[in-house]
Amino acid sequence: QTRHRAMAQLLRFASFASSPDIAFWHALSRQKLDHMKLSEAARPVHGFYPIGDRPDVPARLCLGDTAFGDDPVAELPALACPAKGILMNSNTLDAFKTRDLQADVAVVAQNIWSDIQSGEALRNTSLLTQFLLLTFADLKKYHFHYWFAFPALKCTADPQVMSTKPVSSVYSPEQLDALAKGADSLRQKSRTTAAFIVTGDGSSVEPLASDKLSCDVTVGFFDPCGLADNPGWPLRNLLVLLSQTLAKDGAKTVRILCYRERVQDGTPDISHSIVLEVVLPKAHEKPECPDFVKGWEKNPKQKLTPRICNLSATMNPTHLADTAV
Amino acid sequence: LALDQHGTASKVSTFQKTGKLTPEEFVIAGDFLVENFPSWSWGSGLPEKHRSHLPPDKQFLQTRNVPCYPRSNRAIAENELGEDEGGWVETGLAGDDGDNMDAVAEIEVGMGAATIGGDAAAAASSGSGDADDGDADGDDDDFDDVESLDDYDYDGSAVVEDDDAAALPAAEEGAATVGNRMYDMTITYDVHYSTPRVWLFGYDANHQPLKKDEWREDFSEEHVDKTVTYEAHPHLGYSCPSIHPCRHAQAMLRLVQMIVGDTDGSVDVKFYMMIFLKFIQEIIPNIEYDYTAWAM
Repeated sequence: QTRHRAMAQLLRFASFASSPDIAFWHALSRQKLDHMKLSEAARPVHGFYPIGDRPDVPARLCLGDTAFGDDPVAELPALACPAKGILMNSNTLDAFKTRDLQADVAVVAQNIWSDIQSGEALRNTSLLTQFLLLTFADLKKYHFHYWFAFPALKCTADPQVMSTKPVSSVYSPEQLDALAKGADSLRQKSRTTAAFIVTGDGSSVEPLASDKLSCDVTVGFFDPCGLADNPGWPLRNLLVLLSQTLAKDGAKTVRILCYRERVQDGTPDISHSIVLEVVLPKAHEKPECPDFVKGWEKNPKQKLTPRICNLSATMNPTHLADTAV
Repeated sequence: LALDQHGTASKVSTFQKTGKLTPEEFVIAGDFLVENFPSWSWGSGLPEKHRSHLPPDKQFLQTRNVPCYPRSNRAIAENELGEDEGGWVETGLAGDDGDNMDAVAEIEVGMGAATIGGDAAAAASSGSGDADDGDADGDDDDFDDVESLDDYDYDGSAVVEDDDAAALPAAEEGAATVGNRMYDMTITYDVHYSTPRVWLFGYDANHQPLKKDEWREDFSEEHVDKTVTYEAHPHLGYSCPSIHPCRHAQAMLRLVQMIVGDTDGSVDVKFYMMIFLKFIQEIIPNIEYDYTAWAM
């Protein structure tokens, strides 16, 4: 069922569904009581996203109990990429509601742009996915107000997709096997790998590097999305990086592998991966941070407001009392 | 991957006679699970809750966001949830703590002293106490005081709205991804019973914690009132449903004997967790965690 599209179409991306787990809220409570106290200073927080393991589950940005640890990749599941977050916790509900949202999200967008400009995001491709988390933790009631934003820099134009194909129509079973092995060994070498280069016949997988990047190689990325026609959110900032690197003189066409992996009966299966031919718009010329999509997450009713999580029944009050200041 | 059966006596573990695991064997079986099933990883949990008989970085096994496929009555329930007035999906058990804990206490009593160890009964009663403490200020009794942020005007919607045709609308992500509950699943080592113990924390399709007793729908009817209790997690400091391990050793022994059959062979202890998870699947049939590398 190869899908050929004669005409270029707007490439559309599936956003993240935030998935802070109960252990994260517990960890935040402890951080607030033991370390942050009344400080409202922004602080780093470690998230991660699973690589499209199940087609029937939305792309998730997860936070667990290790979100505040020293090691960004601690307890990272094997098939997941780290994502760097900034947590801005407000001490009062009023402060939470009156934040300068535009300024807050611009911090993250600026960081992504700086990391692309400096080449840091090329060396550590997990920096292409950075997020903002605003919180107000009502520790008396165990109510957590929160709002995620997943900023995406804009290219000079919206990237267009020429074709979308299942990976099996592009690579042979042997090549797919080699691809899975290559991606695995890359992950073993560096847990902060989120994008990579697939060379030639698909047999070799290498880290992204400016001297290896060209329009003749396929650029792969670990895709949290499982949809047959759309890539996940991390590709957005990756395309900006590619545009800045490959399209300085004008628009170029690149081949993108949306790499997804799940385990079936004990063996890796990447057959739900897809391959896109994407038209990269011309690079930005100015060094300033370009316009960006703010990417505020909608609430379950698709409204642009924060969410709330009520854990009054599941938090362990005696434990929190032990650690209360 | 196949169960390797081999007869060398030195490899025979106590678990083949008792169904129980030593902490060392728990680590061996857990390592094997993590190496072969990438959705599983080791967790360390709260430092002050570390158990010295396990390595600090291998205190328990965890897998997150495990889909739970809808049961017949669930689709309706979640549609109603989406229509909450005020826009907030109200979550948690506020106002029902006491009742819930009473229910657990009744379960415990119903199970009787013969099947529940003293530690479980103690945990249940302390859980009840926690809930009372939590309600002491009376705040939680008033469900209506969960603030709604729907009405807040963020200085004009332009601040948060993106004019972004390249974002796929949620509605287009397909019905397949809508409506599934998810569970965080952990497996701890229970010292009293010398077996693994399963803990589950559930979320609705919007990743909001399940309300009240909703988790009960996801456990098999014959087990939910007998072996599932609501207790404090030993490493993570919150409370959630757990499958009580009082019958685990027996069940594991039976399964191991079934696998070995009449032969003189043995089952390598590294397969313990996979056999265990197969057994647990009967209790939580709709929660699709990863363990199936072989057919029994």
